[in-house]
Amino acid sequence: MVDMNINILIVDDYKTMLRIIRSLLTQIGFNNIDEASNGSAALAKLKEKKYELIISDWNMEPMTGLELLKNVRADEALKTIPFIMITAESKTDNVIAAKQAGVNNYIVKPFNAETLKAKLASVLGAF
Amino acid sequence: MNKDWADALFIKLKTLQNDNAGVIDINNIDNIIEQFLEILSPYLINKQERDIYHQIEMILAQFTALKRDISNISSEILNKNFIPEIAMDLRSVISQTEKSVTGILDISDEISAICQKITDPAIREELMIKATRVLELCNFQDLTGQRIQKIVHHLTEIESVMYKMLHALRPDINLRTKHVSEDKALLSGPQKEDETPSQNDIDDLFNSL
Repeated sequence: MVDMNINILIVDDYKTMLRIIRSLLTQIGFNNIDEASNGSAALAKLKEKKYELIISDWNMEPMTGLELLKNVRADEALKTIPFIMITAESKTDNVIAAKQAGVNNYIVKPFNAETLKAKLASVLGAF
Repeated sequence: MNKDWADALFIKLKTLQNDNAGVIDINNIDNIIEQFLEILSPYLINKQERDIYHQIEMILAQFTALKRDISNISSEILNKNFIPEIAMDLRSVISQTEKSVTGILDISDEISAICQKITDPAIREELMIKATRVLELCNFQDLTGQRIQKIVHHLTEIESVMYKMLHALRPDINLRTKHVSEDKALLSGPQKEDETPSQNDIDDLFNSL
């Protein structure tokens, strides 16, 4: 069973998207959710606190989601954290680049609650 | 090569080299081409040569007309912030929709909270599904926002090219200098709706890698 008390970091430069993801996660039953507005801010949070899941957008400044993913995978202390990309970047090259960088799953926007739940289950285990 | 016109062109080139330290001003390029054409004109022999000559003449006429049009534009018009103003309007669309969507999300959260107080499980479940659907539909704000950002980026690029061209043809006007940031290589934002792959397509691709 999935531990609903895990710390989750959601990263997106759109406040509304952070809000949507947070609300959906809360509906599923997760309570410990932190937010960051870009890759750099996320990386700073990851150094301060232990997270068990990262859900990140791709297209952000100054650090993109892909750069964040590469930084996470290159860091000994962070490299095993499951990472889900939620993005509007849906070209084949994007999916390949994310997979090569070590993403655990890839959700294309617009997405629904069912998709998010299914991807969370594939990364964290069945609910 | 006919020696007469080759000599004439060579003399003309030498003259240009001596004038203005060999630097050719873009504003003078049509005059120079016109002079070259005048030199070549008496030496045209066959139809192919005359056709090429005629095409160059036509291009030259179009370039001269373009230069004239640009020189007729007043500096006041050139320095009007058309594109930055459009970009600002588009950005305000993003912020206004964001504000509205935040309101919708607040109401959705309130509905979800009310759901917890409903004792009938069937009604509670039905209302929760509706509240979730409202959340999901608010995805549009992020996607339209990204599409608008993409338009703003392209407008800025067009502006940069336009200003470079105007600066070359109207050095007398002090145009604002523009900086266009480098885009991240892979990023292209949301695709057109009919070109966007479904989540199943993405899953198939992801799992095949």
